[in-house]
Amino acid sequence: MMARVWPYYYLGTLLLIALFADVIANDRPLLAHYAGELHLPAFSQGEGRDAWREADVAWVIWPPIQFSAEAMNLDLPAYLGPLSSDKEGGFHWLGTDRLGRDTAAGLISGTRTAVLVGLGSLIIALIVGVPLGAVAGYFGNEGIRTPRYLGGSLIVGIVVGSGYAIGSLLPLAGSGTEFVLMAVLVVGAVGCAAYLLLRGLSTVSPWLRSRAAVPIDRMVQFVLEMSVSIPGLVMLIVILSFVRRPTIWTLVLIIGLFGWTSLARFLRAELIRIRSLPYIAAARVSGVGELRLLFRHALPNALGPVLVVAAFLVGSSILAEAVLSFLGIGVPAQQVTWGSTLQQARMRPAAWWLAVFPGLMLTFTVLACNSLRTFRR
Amino acid sequence: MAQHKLLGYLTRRLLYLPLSLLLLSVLCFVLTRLTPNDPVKQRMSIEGARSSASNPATYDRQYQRLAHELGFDLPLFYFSVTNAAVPDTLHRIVDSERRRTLRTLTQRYGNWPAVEAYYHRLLDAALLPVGVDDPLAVAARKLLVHESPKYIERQLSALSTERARPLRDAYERMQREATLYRVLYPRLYWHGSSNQYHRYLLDLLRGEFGTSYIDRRPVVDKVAVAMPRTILLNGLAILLVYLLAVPLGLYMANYHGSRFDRWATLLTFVAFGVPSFWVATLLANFFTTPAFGLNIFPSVGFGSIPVGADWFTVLKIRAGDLFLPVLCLAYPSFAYVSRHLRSAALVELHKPYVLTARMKGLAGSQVLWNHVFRNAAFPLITMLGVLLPALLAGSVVIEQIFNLPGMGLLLYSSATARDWPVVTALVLINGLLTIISLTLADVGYALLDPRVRLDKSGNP
Repeated sequence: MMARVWPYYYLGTLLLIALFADVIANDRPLLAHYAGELHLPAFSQGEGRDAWREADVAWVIWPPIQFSAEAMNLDLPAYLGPLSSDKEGGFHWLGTDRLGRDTAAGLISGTRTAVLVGLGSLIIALIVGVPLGAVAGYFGNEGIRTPRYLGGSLIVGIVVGSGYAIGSLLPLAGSGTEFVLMAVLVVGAVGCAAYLLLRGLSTVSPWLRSRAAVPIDRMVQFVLEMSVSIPGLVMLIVILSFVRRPTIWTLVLIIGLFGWTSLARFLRAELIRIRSLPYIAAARVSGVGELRLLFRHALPNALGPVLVVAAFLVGSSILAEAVLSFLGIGVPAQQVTWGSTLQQARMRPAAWWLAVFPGLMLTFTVLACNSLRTFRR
Repeated sequence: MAQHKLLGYLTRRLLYLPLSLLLLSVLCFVLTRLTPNDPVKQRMSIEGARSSASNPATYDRQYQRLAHELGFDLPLFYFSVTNAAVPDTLHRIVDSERRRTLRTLTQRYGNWPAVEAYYHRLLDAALLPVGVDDPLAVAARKLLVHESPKYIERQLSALSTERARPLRDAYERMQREATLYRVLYPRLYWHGSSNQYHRYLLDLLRGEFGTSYIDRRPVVDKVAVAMPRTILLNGLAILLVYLLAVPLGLYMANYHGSRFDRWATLLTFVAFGVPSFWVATLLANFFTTPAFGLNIFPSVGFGSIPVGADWFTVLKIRAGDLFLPVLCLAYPSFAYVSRHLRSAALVELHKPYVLTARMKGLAGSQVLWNHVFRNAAFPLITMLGVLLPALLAGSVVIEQIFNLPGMGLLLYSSATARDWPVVTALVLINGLLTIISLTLADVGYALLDPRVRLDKSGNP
């Protein structure tokens, strides 16, 4: 029984560590009584570790790890081993690296990065992959039939509207939220104008009035087939080394955009299976609308298996982030992650703690994500 | 009927092949052209042109000539969508900073002829033959790359001489005759086939990948040196995977439920999850460095082979170099393949023909290898399509850790140094290999197993 439950506990613990990283590892006290007042130094910017250590406080509560991940200390000898105290009285549970940064604090900060990348890229993959996969699988090539004037005005709106927005509005508005809003408005306006025009024309042209099937499945399949041929990690390395000052969010975005295809492919296959089940036909006969059928009846049934794929995706995103930061690509140089700590181990093979601990964290995370998959199966 | 469907599927796959490569080439092209550094300047510094300080006019002429030769004065793509204020000839200004300045000014005032006149005044002033330290020339050179109105006015007001009058007039005219409404018209320009992407694509099709930005060696040479090493590494890994995974998977299925099966299942599950780059780091640290006194393998990288060494010595050195990298590359795929083979063989083992074979008196191993293996082996072919791309991607990290200068290490070093010609070549080769292996896997699967039905949606 334990074998099946541990991944949930482990991933839950990771999430808690990520949420409370600042409380667990911080070079400022959590709570201090100083000059007759209570202070919460960990939650405010201000004096660092040394100042608080020397301050004349009545009483003070330190976090379990009294260092910040990025705080360097070049006065100390580099590469202190685990369970050692430095001469300034700091205790390093898991030792330090070349720059005197505490490894345990680095692991805590790395947990936060890993959780951020795993969940963030999952959310992006879900946003892109679930609608595309669900619509393609459920409706297929014949499921959506629409009058030609409606489909035509949609195409005109998107092509002409976005062309105008990119050509004329982008240089004016810049690429911020204003531009996105303006582009949506323009696409909508052009689409409405085209609708009015084509609707009018359809009174004389029966061809425009007739209904045509939207080959939505073929379109999504095309994108999926194309994306299969893109070598993922290679493109990640190329694109991220192109970005000059990467933040963690660029990494999240790009990993998410590479990850959505597996979700969409799976959801599509799942909905192709579900749409032919008797209960869908029964619901349709009893007069449930198509959209309601998809969202209330078909999609919830596919969610269980999709969550398993999603867990797998989280694991592989975290792994990709670790590989990239191990290679020194895509993550800001001063940010401490599991991958960058592992990279430090390569400079000094004797510092085994720099290689073993982040690797163990990473391994257990990936295994936990993978075994959610087998558990559900 | 089935043949017909297979043929249709094949043609569709083959149609996707050039399309995907085209997509990859567009992606590489965009990345190449978005890089901030100026390719013409880079080339000029390589060719040893004199710096701009000596004579700006000559430098500018040289720059224009080289830009024209390299095709950087052509439009980027077959068409461009802009607003009506921006002319379709802006691409002729090659220097990216000047082009940005001109584009911003045009967007701001909407009147291209006036902006153009201002630009020509600036250019005349900047390339004055009177001397480098002439205040007008200095200011003009600064103004060529600055578009903020405050900055322009400050520079212009500092120039009190009569010689700056045409420049100031041009600037005032640009402000006076602003035609902002033109910014709001969209315009689509068609450039035809004389554009940068077309030339780039033709070069790629002819196999001309250009020369590396870093050491000026032809890209083809660099890749040709690196490729055999990667092929050796990955070929050995695939060999190892199939040699070990097939028997393991089959025996796991045969002894299904036994202690051996349970342990092997757990082991392969863990092996599939443990990141290979971590294991590689650990192995490299423990067994190739003297840090723990366990340096039983030579230090990372390809060891040098003494001149006139016999084949056994060569083999020994190479085996020492390649053992750990191949192991690290192979074990995740090994776990993956053996688990899949186990489940495929389990399905087969429960079929009646296995019982028949047993009843007619065949030994267990004969049933396993001659009957079950043949039918369970189909997924192995498809898996090659999944394995090869994964191995290629994995070899980027493994080659970096073990310092083996193959395609992966070349990709890493040239991507971080922004050596785009090399990166483009490697991305295209990787993409090509990925697509070909996927296609071959599908086709092989369909040809070998007549039960596979490839319907229109492409789901076997």
